Amino acid sequence: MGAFSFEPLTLPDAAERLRAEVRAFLAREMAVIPAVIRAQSWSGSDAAFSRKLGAQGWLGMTWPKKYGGHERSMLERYVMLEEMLAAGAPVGAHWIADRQSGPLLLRFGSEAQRMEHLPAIARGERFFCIGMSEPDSGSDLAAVRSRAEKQPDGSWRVNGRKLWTSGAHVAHCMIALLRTSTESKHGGLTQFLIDMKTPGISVRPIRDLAGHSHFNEVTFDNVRLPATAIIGQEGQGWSQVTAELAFERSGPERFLSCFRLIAEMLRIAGKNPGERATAAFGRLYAHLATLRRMSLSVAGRLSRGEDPALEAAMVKDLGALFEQDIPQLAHDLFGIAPDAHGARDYERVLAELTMASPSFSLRGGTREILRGIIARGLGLR
Amino acid sequence: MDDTRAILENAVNGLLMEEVTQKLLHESEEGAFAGALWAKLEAQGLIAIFDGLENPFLLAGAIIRACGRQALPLPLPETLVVHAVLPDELRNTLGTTPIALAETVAREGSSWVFGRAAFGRQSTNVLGLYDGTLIFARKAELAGKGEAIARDPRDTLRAAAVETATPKHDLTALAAMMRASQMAGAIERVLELTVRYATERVQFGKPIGNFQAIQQQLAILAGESAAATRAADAAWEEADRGGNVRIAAAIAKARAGEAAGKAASIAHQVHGAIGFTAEHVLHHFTRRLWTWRSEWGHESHWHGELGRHVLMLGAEGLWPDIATPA
Ligand SMILES: Cc1cc2nc3c(=O)[nH]c(=O)nc-3n(C[C@H](O)[C@H](O)[C@H](O)COP(=O)(O)OP(=O)(O)OC[C@H]3O[C@@H](n4cnc5c(N)ncnc54)[C@H](O)[C@@H]3O)c2cc1C
Repeated sequence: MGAFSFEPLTLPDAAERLRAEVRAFLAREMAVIPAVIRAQSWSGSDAAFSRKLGAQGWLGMTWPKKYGGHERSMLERYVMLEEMLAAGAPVGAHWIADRQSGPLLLRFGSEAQRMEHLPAIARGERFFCIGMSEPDSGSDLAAVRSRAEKQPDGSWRVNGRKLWTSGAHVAHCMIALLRTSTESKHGGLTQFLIDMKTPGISVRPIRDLAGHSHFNEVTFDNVRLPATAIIGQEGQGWSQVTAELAFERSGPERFLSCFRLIAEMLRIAGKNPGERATAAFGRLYAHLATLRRMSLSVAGRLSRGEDPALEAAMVKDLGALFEQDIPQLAHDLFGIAPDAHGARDYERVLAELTMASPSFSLRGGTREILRGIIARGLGLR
Repeated sequence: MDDTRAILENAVNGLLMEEVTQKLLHESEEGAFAGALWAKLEAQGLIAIFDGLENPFLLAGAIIRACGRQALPLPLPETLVVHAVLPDELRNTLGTTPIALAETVAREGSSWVFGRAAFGRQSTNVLGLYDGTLIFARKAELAGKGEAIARDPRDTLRAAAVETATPKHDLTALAAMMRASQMAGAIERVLELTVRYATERVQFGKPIGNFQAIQQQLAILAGESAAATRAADAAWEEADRGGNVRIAAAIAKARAGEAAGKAASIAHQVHGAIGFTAEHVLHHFTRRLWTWRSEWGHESHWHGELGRHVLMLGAEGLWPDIATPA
């Protein structure tokens, strides 16, 4: 009836069976991982852990077998992801490759690109980063200036600067959005697959406010790329990147970033923290349960091949509000200062997530941009 | 969605959209009983749905949400909930007569007093819960008139003779789900009205919906609407599955109640002064939202109940509970 809908979804039995397997795996693997690393969730990177997931067959799960995938359903993948996130598994190293670079190559890549990269991604051995943002191109992504110029021999020469590139220091490859023509803002953009070892690329870590260096500045100084580095069509970068962003907005990572803090809060609270704290946990639970139902509904539609871009934006917007409420609530309830070097897990996890929380409504499309998308869906733009 | 449900849902939406005019709302709020409309609801088969239909709760939830969308000033939601909790042999004697639902029941000497009975004056039949037992009166008398700011009757009824029964389902939970679904429906309507107004109202030479500040507010309202509807519908789905209805009801009522407050304030802000008038249609919905969110347990009541559930689950139990096959 309306502009959006969130139909119910019941997960298939196969997905629930997989859940049990994933839990058994996590029970074995997570015991040794400290609470504060678990709190980093999908920002935390552990190449060895990624390879283990590859060996389990949990990367590239939905891709065709001929590309090293496992031809499992999207809903099985959803369950695997939510279990990883709830446990705080260090999934950051392969996260981008598995979530968006791989699917992008499946959709737009050449056969050679797929054969070269997809099996390695699925083994947990090849990591990707996203080169979209630049100093003057944030929300206004089409303002990208970094240039790729076609050379007489068909190769490309790249100059420019990418900013905030998460994981560029561990990634083997980048998918970059570059300007190949200045004639049209949106029509002059092309996506390239770039080997990070190519001469002329330098990666400089950027320290974030928590002291981590998860993201980077990547500079291109006369970098030569072969003609085969193009992904899809020259000049089609904008529509390809829009499709890519849809993979980025719909998953359970959009409301589970603070789940480990909820767990630590419950430990601190004990069984009888008083009426106010009890009610606060109740509200949190109502929101969490509802967000998961909404997110599952989006997953169901994606698995039927639909494009619920509006609903995905709504889940991400509500999800970020929820995630950002949690450190605030912890502060309100317990009066224990966040401390990255504190004695208790609670203090350290609260420190980690208090400092991480501003990014929840920035990365993957800011709150204001998402609300603009929702308003357009309502017919207002 | 199965066919019966789709057909009935369309029927109720279509019928109510046509029949519940603003005139009817005004007359009802002045005290008239929309008996002719009740007869139409009967004729469409929208009342006796707990008579062997498949997934009756899902259907009930959809009908009740449609009632909320139109601010239906009749006890159809209440009657459906009563039908759901009464044992079959008792329900079978009731046909399709409207039934009032009381939020409180007390004993006064030899008689029973039903408090805050929704649509009490429009029915001689009333149901309430006393100490875990259903108390049903067929010949209740009006003992006092009241109305919440919804301006739907919330009366006091008195009866000497009552029948008692063990509830088939948790009445408090179903009544909370009823208000949650009415709120979800009313919020959907409020969103529609507000989006439409934003595209029509012109200031500074353009529709106010062109202003980003308004767009951002409407995006928030849309998110609240989606959350309320998903949470409310999920509770009825849970009831058909025989799952933990109490918890699903608590989630539904708490989440929809929170959405109701936000939705009403954004809608009024966007509507400006015209939305503040008796003449405009908006208040029929927002007054009901403000009423429904505090009936059958307001947010903090259900938050407390959910909070105790969470504390019992503890740090390790929370995720398995959230991810329990729904
Ligand atoms: C932790 C983290 C990791 C990241 N990782 C990557 C990565 O791996 N690769 C990558 O390419 N990028 C990455 N980014 C960058 C991210 O995509 C950008 O931060 C985001 O697109 C916003 O751009 P900006 O930071 O330049 O903010 P700006 O676009 O300058 O926005 C600043 C403020 O203005 C608002 N604003 C901007 N335009 C409008 C408008 N039209 N209407 C209303 N308000 C507006 C914004 O909503 C925001 O509140 C990452 C960011 C973070 C925080």
